[in-house]
Amino acid sequence: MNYFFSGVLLFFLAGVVTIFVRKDEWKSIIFLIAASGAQILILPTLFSSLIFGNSFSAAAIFSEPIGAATLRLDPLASVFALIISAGALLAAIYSLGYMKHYYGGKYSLSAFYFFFGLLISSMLLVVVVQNSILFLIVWELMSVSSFFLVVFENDKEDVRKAGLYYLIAMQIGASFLIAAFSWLGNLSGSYDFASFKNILSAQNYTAIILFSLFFIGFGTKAGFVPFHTWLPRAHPAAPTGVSAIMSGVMIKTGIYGILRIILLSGVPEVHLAYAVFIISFVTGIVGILNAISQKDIKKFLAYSSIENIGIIGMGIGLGMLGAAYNIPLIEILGYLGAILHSVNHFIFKSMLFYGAGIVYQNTNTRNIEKLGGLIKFMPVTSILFLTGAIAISGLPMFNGFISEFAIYLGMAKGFASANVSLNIFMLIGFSGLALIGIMAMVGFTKLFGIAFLGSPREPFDKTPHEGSTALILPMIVLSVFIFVVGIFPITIIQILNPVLRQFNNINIEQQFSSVFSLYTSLTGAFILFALIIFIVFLIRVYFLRNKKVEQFKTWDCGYQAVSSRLQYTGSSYSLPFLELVAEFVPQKTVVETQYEIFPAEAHLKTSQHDFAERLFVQPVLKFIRRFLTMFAWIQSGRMQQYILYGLIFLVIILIWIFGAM
Amino acid sequence: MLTAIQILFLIFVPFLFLGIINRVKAVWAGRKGSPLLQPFYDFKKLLRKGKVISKTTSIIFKIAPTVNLSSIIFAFLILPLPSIGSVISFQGDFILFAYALGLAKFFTVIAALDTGSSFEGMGASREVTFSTIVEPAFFIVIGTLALLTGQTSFATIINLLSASAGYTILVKILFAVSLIIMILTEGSRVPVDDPNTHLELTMIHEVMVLDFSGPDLAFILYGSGLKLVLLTSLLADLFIPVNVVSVYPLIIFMGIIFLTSALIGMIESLIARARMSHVPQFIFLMTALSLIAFAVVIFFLRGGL
Amino acid sequence: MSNVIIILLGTTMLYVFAASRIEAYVKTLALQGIFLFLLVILDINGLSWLNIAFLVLETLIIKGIIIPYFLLNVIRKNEIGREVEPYLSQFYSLLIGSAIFIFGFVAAFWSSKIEAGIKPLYFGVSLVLIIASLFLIVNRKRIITHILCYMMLENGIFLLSLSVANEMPMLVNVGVLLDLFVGVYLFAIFFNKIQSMFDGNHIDILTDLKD
Repeated sequence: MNYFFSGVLLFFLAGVVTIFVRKDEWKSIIFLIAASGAQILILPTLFSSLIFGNSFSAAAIFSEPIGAATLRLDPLASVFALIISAGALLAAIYSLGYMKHYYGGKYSLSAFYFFFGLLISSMLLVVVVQNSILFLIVWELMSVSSFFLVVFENDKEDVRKAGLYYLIAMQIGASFLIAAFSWLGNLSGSYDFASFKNILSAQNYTAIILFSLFFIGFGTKAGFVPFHTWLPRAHPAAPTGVSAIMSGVMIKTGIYGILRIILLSGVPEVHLAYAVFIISFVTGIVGILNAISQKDIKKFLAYSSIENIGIIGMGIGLGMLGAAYNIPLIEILGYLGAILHSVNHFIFKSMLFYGAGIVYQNTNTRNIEKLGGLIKFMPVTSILFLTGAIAISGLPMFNGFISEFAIYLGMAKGFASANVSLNIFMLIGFSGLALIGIMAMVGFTKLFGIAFLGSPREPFDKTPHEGSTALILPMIVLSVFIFVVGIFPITIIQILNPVLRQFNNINIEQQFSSVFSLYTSLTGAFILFALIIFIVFLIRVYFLRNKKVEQFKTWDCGYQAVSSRLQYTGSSYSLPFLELVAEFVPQKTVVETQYEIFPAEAHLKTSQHDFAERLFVQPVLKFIRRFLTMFAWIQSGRMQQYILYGLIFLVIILIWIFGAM
Repeated sequence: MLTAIQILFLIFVPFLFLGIINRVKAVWAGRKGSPLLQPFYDFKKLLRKGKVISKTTSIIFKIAPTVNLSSIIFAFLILPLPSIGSVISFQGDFILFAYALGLAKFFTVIAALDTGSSFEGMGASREVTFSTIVEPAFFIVIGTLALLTGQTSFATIINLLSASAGYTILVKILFAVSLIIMILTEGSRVPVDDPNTHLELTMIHEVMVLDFSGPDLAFILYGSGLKLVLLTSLLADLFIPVNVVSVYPLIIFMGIIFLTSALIGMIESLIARARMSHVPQFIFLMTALSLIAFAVVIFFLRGGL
Repeated sequence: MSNVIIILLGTTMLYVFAASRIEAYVKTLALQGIFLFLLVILDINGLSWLNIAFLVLETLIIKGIIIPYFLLNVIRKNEIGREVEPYLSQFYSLLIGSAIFIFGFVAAFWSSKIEAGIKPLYFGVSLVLIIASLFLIVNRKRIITHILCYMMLENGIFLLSLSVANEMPMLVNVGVLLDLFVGVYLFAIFFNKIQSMFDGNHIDILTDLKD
C-alpha cells in the first residue's frame, strides 16, 4: 500500500514541481517523467489486487472531525485506480504534444499541470478512502481541481460560463452526498464506511432514501439524466487532454461511488433496481439523441459519454435486478457489463477525444460542417479515430461489443425468469439497448464520415498534417487495447473476476466459469470472422490481379458543376432521423432573408436544445429565479447595509441571551 | 454428403433468389424475363472486369465490400440450417448475429460517405434512419423468441420452437410477417426502396453502391443476395424442425425460401414504392407486430399480467 | 487598576463617535493599542515568555505603533481628506454611542450575575467596542473609516479573548493578527489600485459590484 501512496504523492508532486520549472517545454517533459514514475509505483499494487484478489488497507488518524480513517484498496477500487492512472499517463503523453500550442502564451502552463496532478491524486484517493469526511474532502478537491482545468482558456467568455456552470453542478451534487453522509453518520455513529452496512442493507424507507440521495449525488458526477446538463458545456470548453480525462476517467468516479454504495447495501430492493435501470435507459436515449444533432465534435463526444454512462447504468441496474431476484447469472453479467463498459469507454472515448484534439489543432475548428476529407491529410489519425468510432458503436471484434454483449445476454437471460414485470423490463432494455446502439452508429458514421471522408467542405486555412508522435502514441496504445479486449476478452475478464466476487460472496464459481467459457467461444468466433475476412480479401486480390484500375471522379450523373459543397453535410445526414424524433430534439431555426428583386445575402441559423434540460432543469431554475427575485431587495450592493444586518443580528442575539437567563 | 450438397446449393441460392424475384416480376408484367441464374452470370462478368475508383475516396472505400461480404458470411454461420445446425453456436449468439450485420452496414455507410457525392450521402442517411426502426424491432423478435423458449442461442431456440405448438402458431405467423417486412427493408425491396431505379425518390441501398465496380461490385451483388437468403432462412427456421437428419426438413426449407422470393416478386409487382415519409410508418409495422407477438407470449406463457 | 484602563478603552470609543477628523481615528487606534498593552502587562502571571513576547509584539508594537504610523503615512500621502462624512448627524450618532455604552454595562452586570467564569467588565467593554465599531462602519461613508473601525473591531475581539479566563489560546491571537493583516492589505490595495481607477473613495462606488 505504501507504493500506492507514494505513487499518489508523486502524481501530486509532478504538478507542483512544474511551478518551479522555467521553460514551458520542460514543464511538460518533467510532468510526463514524474507521471510515468508514479504509474510504475502504482501498477504492481493494482495488479496484485486484481489478479490475486488481495485487498490492502492502511489506517490513519486525523484530527477531528475526521477521526480515524481507513484507506482500502480492494479489487473494485483497483479497477478504477487502473483507469485513473492509465488515463493520467496517456493524457500526460498527449499533453506533451498538445500543450505546445500554448507555450509562451498568456495561459499558465504550470497552473495546468499543478491542477492536473492534484486532480489525478485526488481521484486516486477517492477510490481508496473509506471515511465519509475524508471522502468528501478529496471529492471536493477533485471537483475544484477539474474546475480550474476546465477554465484553462479563461479569457474566452463561453469557457468561463461553462466552468461556472460545471462548478455549481458539482456543488449541487456534492450537497446531496453531504446530506446522505451526514445522515448516515448520525444513524450509525461513526463515519467509517463499514459501519454503514447495517443501515443501508435494511429493507426500509430510510435505506431507500439514502440510496437515492447517494445515487443523485454520484449520478451528478457521472452524468445521469437529468443531472447531465453540465457535461456538454464543460467538455468542449476544456483543453483536449482534460476533456479526455474528464470524460474517460472522472465521470467513472461517480460510477465507482454508486458501486461502492451497492456493495455496502447488500441485496438491493427491487424497486430501486428497476428505478436505476429505467433512469439509465433514459440517460442512454437522451444522450445519443442529443449527440446526433450536434455539429461540434467535442459536444458530440460529450453527449455520447452521457449515452455510455446510461449503458453502464443499465448494467448496474441489471446486476441489481439479478441480485434482487436472486438470479446469480444475471447479477454477474450485469455488473461485469457495467464495469467492463467503464473500462472500455475509458479506452475508446479517450481515443476519440485525442483524435478530435488533433483535428482541432490542425484545422482550428470543431465544427464538422467545415471539415471533410481529412483522411487524405492525416491517414493515421483517421484510421485510429475510425477504430474508436467502430468500438463505441459496439461492433464485433472491437472492445465495445464485449461489454454490451454481457449486458444483452444478462437481459436475454432475464426472459427465462417467470416474473412478468422482469420480462417486460428486460424487453424494454433489450430492444432499448439495440436502439441506443443503432443510434450510436448513426451518430458516429455521421461524425467520422462527414469530418474525415469525402472532400473538404470549406477550404482549409493551412494544410492539415498528421499529428505529432506525442499525440498519436496514446491513440496507438489505446487501439491495441481495443483489439486485445475485443478479440481476446478473456484477458480482461480474468482481471475482473475478483471484482465480481466482491459483489456476491457466495459461490459463484460455476456461473462465472460458464461466463468465462462463453467468452472463450466468442474469441473462437472472432478468429473465424477474421479468417473469413482474410479469405475474402485474398479472393479479391486474386480477381484484381492483372486488372486495370482506373482513377476518375465520383459519378455525378452528368452534372458539370460539382463542388465539394454539394456533399452531404452533417445536418443533412441526420435530418431524416431527426425528423422522425422531432418532438424530442427541439430545434430552433432563425431565418433572415430579404425579399428583393435580386438575390441578396440571407442567413439561416439552427440551434439544438437539449429536451431533457428543457423538461427537467429549466422549470426548476425558473422557479428558483422567480422565488429569489422576491428577496432581491436584500442585496442592495451597499456594504453598510450588510454590516447593519450583522449588527442587528448581534444585538438581538445578545438581548435574547440576556433575557433568557 | 447431404451436407456437401447443401453447402454447394447455398452458394448458388442467393443468385437464384434474386433471379426468381426478377422472373416473377417479369412474368407478372407479361414479359418473358431473364434466365433464372442471370444474377450469377452478372456476378461472373463483374469478377472478370477491372475497377474504376473515384479520386475522392480513400482506403475505406477499398475495404468496405470485403468487410460487408465477410460479415454477412459470418452471420450466416450463426444461423442454424436444416441438418447442419449452425457452425457457431453459443449463448447469446443472436446478438453477435445482429451486430455482425451491423458491422456490414457501418462499413457500407461510411464507404458511401467516402465518395463525397450527395447521392451516396442521401442513401446513407436514409439507410441509417430506417435501421433505427428495424434494429430494435429485430431485437424485440429475438427477445420474444428467447422468452418463448427460455433459451439464448439460435440453435437451441429453433429446436425448442419446433417442438412447441398451440398459440405458438399465432406467434410464428406474426414473426413471419415482421421478418418479411425486415427482408423488404434490409434487402431494399418495394415498398421501401426500388432496386431498379436510381431516382432521388428511391435512393437508399442501390445508390450507396453507385461508385463500386468490378470485383467489388460483384461482392456487393453476392452479399445482397446472401443477406436476403440469410433473413429468409431465419424466417424458414421458424417453421421447420431443424435437427432431424433427413430430406424432409430440407425440402420444406428450400420451399419456404423459394416461396418467399416469389412472394417478394409478387409484392414488388403489386405495390408501388411508398412515399418517403410513409416508409418509416411501414417499417414501424414491424415493431408493432413484434410487440404484439411479445404480448401474446407473455399472456399465454406467463398467464397474463 | 485594570478596571480603570478598561473604562478608558470604552471612553475612547465614545471619543471616536464624537470625532470628525480621520487622523483622530488613527490616534485613537494607537491609544487603544497602548491600553491593551497595559492590560496585558497587568495580567501577566504564569504565562510563558514566548506568549508574553508575542502579546507585546502584537499589542504594543503592531497595534500601537506600526499600523497607526503606516496608516497615517498612507492618509497623508494620498491626500484623502480630513472629514469623516457620516450618514446620521453627529448628534444622533453620539446618542446611539451612549446607548451602546450603557448596553455594554448592562451586559457586564449580567455576566457578573451568572457564574460563567468570565471577567465581567472585560466582557462588557469588549461588547461596547464590537457593537460600536460595527455601528460606525454602517454609519460612515468613506472606505478608510471602514478599515479603521474594522481594526477597532479587532481590538474588541482581542479584549473579549482576554475576558475569558486566563488561557488566551494562541489561535485567537493568530486569528486576530490574520484579520489585521487582511484588513491592512486590502486597504493598501484599495488605495493603490482602486483609487487610480475610480476617482473617489466613497463607499457608493462599491455598489457597482452588485450583480
